[in-house]
Amino acid sequence: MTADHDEAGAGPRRLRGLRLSRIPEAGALVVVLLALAAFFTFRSEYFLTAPNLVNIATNVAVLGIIAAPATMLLIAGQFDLSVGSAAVFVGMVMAKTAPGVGIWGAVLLALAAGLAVGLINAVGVVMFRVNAIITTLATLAAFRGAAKLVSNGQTLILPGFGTLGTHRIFSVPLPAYIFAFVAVLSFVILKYTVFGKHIYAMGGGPRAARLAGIPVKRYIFIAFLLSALGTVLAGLIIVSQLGASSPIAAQGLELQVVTAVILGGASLSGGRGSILGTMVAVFIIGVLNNGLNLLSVPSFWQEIILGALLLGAVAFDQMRIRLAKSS
Amino acid sequence: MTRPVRAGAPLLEIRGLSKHYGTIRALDDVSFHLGRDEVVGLLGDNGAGKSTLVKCLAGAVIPTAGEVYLHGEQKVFSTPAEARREGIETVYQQLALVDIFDIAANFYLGREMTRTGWRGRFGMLDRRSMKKRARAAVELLPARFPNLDALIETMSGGQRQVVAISRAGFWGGRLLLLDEPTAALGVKEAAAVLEMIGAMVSAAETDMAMIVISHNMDHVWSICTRLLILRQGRLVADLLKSETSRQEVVAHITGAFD
Repeated sequence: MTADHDEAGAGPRRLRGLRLSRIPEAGALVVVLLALAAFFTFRSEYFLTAPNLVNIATNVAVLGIIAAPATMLLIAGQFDLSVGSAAVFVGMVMAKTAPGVGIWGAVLLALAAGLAVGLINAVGVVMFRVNAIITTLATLAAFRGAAKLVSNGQTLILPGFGTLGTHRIFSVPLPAYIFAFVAVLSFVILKYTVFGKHIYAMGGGPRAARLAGIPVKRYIFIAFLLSALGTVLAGLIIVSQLGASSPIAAQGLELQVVTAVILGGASLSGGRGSILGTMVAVFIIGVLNNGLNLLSVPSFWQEIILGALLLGAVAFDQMRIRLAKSS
Repeated sequence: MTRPVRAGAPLLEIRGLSKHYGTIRALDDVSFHLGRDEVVGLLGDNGAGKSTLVKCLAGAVIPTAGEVYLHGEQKVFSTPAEARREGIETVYQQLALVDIFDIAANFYLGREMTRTGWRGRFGMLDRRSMKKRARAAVELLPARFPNLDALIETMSGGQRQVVAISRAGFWGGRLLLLDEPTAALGVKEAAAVLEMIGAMVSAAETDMAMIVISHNMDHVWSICTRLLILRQGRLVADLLKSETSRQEVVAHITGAFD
């Protein structure tokens, strides 16, 4: 009997069980990423150069900084579509108030503005029990409008705030470091902490999580606020990079975020996903955009390809859900 | 009926427990007590109050009136977590497991162990210890799992139920409440679950009692020593299995003695 158990115990340990089954998924993404990179290297001599790679990392920073908390949200079974509008609203508050209260005062106000959006999302979902897609679709519309209201529909120039977006350390711009920091922090939180475990539990078994006494509401609240924090960072980086705040910036950012998260292996039904997968997907999107630019493919095509990518990723996710149910 | 609190007080005693929803009396003045090592079957028709009674004990429903005593000490539970802290573990009819987690993660769901030192302060999980302890606990069970790292979603209904019951036992519950533990299972699986329940009770070193809700007389009969029968919210019979017959129990359930 003991021998039986030893065998049962040692076998999976040797194989590290079915845990490996999660790696091929991210592995497939890495293969796609490398294939894209190889293709663009072959087609354009500029693609595989240090400045261009730095370019890619900088260009995906905003997407990645928002996609990390968005991954947590989706794993917990929630959504945040308001990120693009919120980022622009944050930028507008920054640009509008900086002349009056100074850069640091404006950063604080921008932070407050971003958290306010997150708070509204959280209250709508947790307290009024409105579906997260609807809640954040509403804030998406409202805060794009609010951004235009603040600026009277104009682009506001913001001089003297270029450091965050353009300062370089070892010739790599600051946003790439911030992105790396956010990605690593999110990875550790999601994979190694009690909070992360509970996020997975909430998405994978909402009833079980509630019965186990996990403070589900509080965690959803926190997750929306984390998403808002990512949005604040992203919004400030955008303003800093442009030296101005445009009310039509970051259009469709939410679509890119959702595409990255789902392409990265997170499931629409919650409970599944990883920061690693999302980050690889973020780079797939970044490499695609960059490569298509290098090949002078019109940007309209990029939008079409992004849409196709999202549809493909969701279809794949649905297939996986059906497979899991039928097994 | 009222007795003073004393050292030899029963493991569980409830007095005059009632739960009213408006004019509906889901539970009406129910009193009984339960000693250690007792496995009691809670029987009754649909709507007889079985689930309400168990939910009151589990802290999921707050009774309108009545008192609950554990070892002679009065307890009031307003949340399931409070009941759990007092050693009342509930296995719900629809399983309260996270399908995408393995056995260890489900055992520790909501009660995760954290690492010692600074990592613990940041809420870092101690996976290895959790896995080790869960593994040790599972190996003491009569149920065998070919792969302890397997996710719940890959298991059969019976295996899942065994995991859920094992989790309740794992936390050293003094009182286990099982809501229809065999309802969704096939004959063979149900037998395995019942065997496991029996083994758990007889193996328990500390005082432990179990209340099993079931529609299935055969299942209850095979593991219980005593039967409580509810009818329209009232406790209509409290019988020792050795002193009754199935016919008598069925008659109480259907109200033939009314």
